[in-house]
Amino acid sequence: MSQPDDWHDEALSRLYRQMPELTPDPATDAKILAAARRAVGAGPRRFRPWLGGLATAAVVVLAVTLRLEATRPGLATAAPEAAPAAASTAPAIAEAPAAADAKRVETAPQPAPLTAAPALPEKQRVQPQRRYAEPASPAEPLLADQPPPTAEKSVANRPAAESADTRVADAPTPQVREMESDSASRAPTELAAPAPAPKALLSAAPPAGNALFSDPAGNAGASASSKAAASPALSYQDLMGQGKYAAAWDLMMSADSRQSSDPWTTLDQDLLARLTGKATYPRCTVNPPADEMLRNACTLIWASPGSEPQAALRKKLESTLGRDAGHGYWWRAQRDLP
Amino acid sequence: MAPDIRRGIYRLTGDFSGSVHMTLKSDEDLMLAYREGDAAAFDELYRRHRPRLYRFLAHEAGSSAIGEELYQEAWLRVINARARYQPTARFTTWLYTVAHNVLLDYFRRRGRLSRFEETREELPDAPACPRQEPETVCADAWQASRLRDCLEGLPEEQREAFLLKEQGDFGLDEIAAITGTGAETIKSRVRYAIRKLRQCLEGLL
Repeated sequence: MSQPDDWHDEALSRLYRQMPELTPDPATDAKILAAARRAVGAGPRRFRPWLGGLATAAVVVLAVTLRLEATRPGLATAAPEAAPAAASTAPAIAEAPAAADAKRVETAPQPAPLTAAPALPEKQRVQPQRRYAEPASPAEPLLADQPPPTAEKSVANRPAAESADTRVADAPTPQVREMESDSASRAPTELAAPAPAPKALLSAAPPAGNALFSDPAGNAGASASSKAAASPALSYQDLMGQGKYAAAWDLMMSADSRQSSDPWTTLDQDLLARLTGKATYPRCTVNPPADEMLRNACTLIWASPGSEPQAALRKKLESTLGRDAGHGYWWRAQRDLP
Repeated sequence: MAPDIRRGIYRLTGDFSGSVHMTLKSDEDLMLAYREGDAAAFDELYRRHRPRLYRFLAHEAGSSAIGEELYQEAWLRVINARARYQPTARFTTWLYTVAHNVLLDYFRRRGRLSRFEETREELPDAPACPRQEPETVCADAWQASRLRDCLEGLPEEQREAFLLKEQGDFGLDEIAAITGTGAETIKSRVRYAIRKLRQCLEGLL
C-alpha cells in the first residue's frame, strides 16, 4: 500500500507496533464461536423459492378453514341467539312480562347460582332478562319516584327465592315488574360476586390510594393485577424508592403496555440487580438503545434462566407486542445468551 | 498473482490449526461459506481477525473491559448479518464498518449514560521492565505506554482514523468507506492525529 508521506509517520508506526499485545478473553472467544455455530446449527438460511408459495397456500387454507369454522351453525353460541331476538323486537316486547316472570320463577328459587354458579351459564341467564328490560327504560323514572331506600332494602334483605315469588304475586304493572326483574337479575350477580372483598379493599385504602402496597412485604396476598387495579397510585419509581422491589416488579408485569407510562419500557438494571442479586449484565447493555425491551428481556433471561420470571416475561412480551413479535423478541433474547 | 491468493498464501505462514484448504481461502470466500452454513469457515475467519479487531476496539474504547464488550458485539453483528453479506468489497472493510457502527452506538450511549464513564477501566500497562534487560527495551515499552496515553487524548474521529490506518492497515479510500466520510477528510484527520501525537510524545521520537 503506497501512501503519501504527509499522512504517514514511520516512527509513530513503529512505536504503535511496540505497544503491548491485547487479546480478548478466551471465554469471549468461546462465546462468539459458540454463537456462530448455534446460528448456522439452527438451520442455514438458504433461499428456497418454493417456500413463499407454500406459505401462501398455508395461509389460504388456514383462512378458509377458519371462515368455515366460524360459519358452522353448531359452533355459534351467543350471536345466533341474539340475532333472532333483535330481529323480532316487537314480539319480544309483547311477551316480555310473561317471559320475564317465567324466567324468574324458574331461576330465582334455585340457590345454586347464588353460591357457585359457573360464570358462563349465569351470563347466559342474565342476558335475556336484560334484553327484555331494555325496552322498558321509561320505567326508570317510575322507580326513581319511589322511595328507593325502603324498596331496595326490602328487596335486598329478602331471600332470593322469597322475593322472586313475592314479586310475581305483587307485581301491579308491567313496568314495575320489568324493573324488579332487572333488579332480580342483578341480585344473583351481586350475591355471587365476592362483594365483601372490594369493600374491604376500599375501606382499607387510605385516601392516597396506598392500600395496594400497605403490606410491608410489598406484594404478599392478592395477585398483581388485582392489586394494580385496586390502587395504581404508587408509581414504579415510588416503589423503587421505597425499596418495595417485589411490588415494583408486580406493577411492571401488570401494567398496560400500550400506555406510555408503562414502567416496562423504563425498566432499569437496578431493579433487576436487586431482584436477582446480580450486579451487572454487561452483555445485555451493549444492544442498541432502540432495543430497550430486548435488552431487558436479555437481562431477565440471563439473570434467572428457567425460573418463573421468564414465563411471566414471555407472556408480557407476547401480550405487549402480539404473539409473533413477542415470541420473536423472546427468541432473540435467548439467542444472545452467553 | 491475484490479491486473494496472495492473502491466502500469507496466511499459510501463520497458524496451522485449521486445514490447509480452509487457510488458503480468502476472507470473502470464508464468509460466503459461513453464510451457507459452514461453521468451520467462521472459525478460520475469526482466528485471522481476532487480535487486530480486539486491539482496535480496546484502544478506541480506552478500556479492555469495554473493548471486550464491543468486540463481542461486533462479532455477533457479523454473525447475525451473515445472510445479508455480499462480497462487494474486502471482508475486512465490511468487518471494520460493523465495528465502526458498534463504536458509534457505544459513544452515543456513553454520552447519555455517565455511569459508563465512571466504570471505565484503564488499559493494562506495559509490562514492567525487568532490570536485566537492555535499557533500550525498557525505553521502548515506556514509549509505547506513553503512546497509549496520547492516543486516549485524541478526539474520537482522529483516533479512529489513525487506528484504522495503523491497526487495520487500510488505505485512505477504505477508511473513508468504513467511516462513511470523504477521503480528504480522513487524510486531514490522520494528519492532525499524527501532529498531536508527535506533540504529545515530544522528545521521545
